[in-house]
Amino acid sequence: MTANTEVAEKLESYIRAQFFVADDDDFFTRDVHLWKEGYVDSTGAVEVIAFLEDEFQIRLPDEVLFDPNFTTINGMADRVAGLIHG
Amino acid sequence: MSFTTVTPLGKPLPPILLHQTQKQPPAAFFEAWRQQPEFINEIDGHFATVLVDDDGTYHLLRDPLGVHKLFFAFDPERGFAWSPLLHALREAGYPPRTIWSLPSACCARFNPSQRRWSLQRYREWDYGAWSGESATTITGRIRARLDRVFAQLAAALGDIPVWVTLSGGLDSTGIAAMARRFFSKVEGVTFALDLDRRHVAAGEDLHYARLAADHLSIPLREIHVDGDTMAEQLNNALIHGQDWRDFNVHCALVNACIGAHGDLPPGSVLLTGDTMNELVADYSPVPFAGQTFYPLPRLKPGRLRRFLVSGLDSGDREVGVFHHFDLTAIQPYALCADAYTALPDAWLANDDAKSALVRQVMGDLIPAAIYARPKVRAQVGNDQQQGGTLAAMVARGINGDHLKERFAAQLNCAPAFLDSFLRAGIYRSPLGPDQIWADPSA
Repeated sequence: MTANTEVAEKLESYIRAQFFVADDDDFFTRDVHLWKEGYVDSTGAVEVIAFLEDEFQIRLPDEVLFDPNFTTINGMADRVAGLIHG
Repeated sequence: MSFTTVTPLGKPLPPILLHQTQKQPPAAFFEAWRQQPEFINEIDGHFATVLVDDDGTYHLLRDPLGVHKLFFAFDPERGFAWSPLLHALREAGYPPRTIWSLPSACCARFNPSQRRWSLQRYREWDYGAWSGESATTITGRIRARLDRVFAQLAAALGDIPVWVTLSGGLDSTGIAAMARRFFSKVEGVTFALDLDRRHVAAGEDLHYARLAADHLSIPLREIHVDGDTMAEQLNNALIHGQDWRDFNVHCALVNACIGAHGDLPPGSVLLTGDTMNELVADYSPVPFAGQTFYPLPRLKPGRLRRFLVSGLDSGDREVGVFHHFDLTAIQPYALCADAYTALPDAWLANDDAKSALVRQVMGDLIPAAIYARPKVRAQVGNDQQQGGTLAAMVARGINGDHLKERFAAQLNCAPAFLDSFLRAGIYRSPLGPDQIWADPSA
């Protein structure tokens, strides 16, 4: 399993559980825009970042919140994997 | 290489600059920074500025906690502009997608003709740095830091009368107690919503504000406002508070009422207890009328504080609002952020953590009754019954959706733009030059 996939799996599980995503929600994928589609609100964005930092022992800069790629599970996984591998 | 200061759009916001030994005009500090970038590490304060050099490179600089705001805009037609007020850039005709913020504790270089943008963070907070230190050492350091900041403020401001916004809580009473020691003329100002001056309940903010003023032997100016008068200040609270989220708007409303009342002479300096709650993560959501207001991320206090502190990047509930009324707000706790962020996580874990900390730092400078006061958020009235600004707004149907739509209308933008401009307490900043020239999220 690649680092990206591992991060994406853990993040998907976290978001499904913390933000009550229904199991039969077919619209929810690892490429859905989490902010625009309302899966994670502004307060929840902080929780997602805290989860990623704690789980993978990294520090995400504040500016990442406006990275156009840091809006989906896959995009976040790419960014985190990049930080893990320096 | 010579530099000139770029005049902001709107009303310029005078910087508050502190240096351990030097006392200079702000322009000299900023020029010293341009000549020697490391100089920024010797400065504390509330500031935002933009300089431009001979080759057209703009140098942007903002204070470590983001107390002063720095919005900038660029489009090929209008060129570059900046302002501490988002609204000023919209009024100048810049489309929303061309407007950005410089993050707190950052400096940036921007050259439009060369399409260059670079961002550098010059300060990081070392959260929990004092883990393992004794309580006596920690509280002694915090007290020494407060003493130093107040001495620097007194030196920078000179022997002028200062006001303290006094709510009767620990934070503002602590500021009043320190101000009393370092300034020769201190006066308190407090705000009461819908209260009969003669019958103040023992649990009310006003009761404790009077008690604190009496203990410190400072005069107290009381500003009494009814709910309708407060609601009239909503546009000022939104435009100059630069945020639509209820916890900031409600705080901004109180400050707008104080400013609009006109009791304080123009140009007055106000010292406030703001930012302490962020620095020690002393917030909790408020249940009222079947809803939960002021929601927070579900994190432990030690973890939460980093996000509350970085969230000071957005919202201008004090400095911006008071500035609109020609009053200068200074937040001394923000100037001691390095000390408070160094507190070990364990110090924040208990519900009465702040009270215990303040007691050790301030001792009997603060009256015992204020230490014993049940914890009440400033915008929700007293400890017997939720009320205050929150209730006044809810009673008038002014809820979160209304605030967002109204703020968007004032900025002449779509409400959806606000979600892309302010996320998790941070105003958006460009990641690189490509975003400035073509924002794909626009």
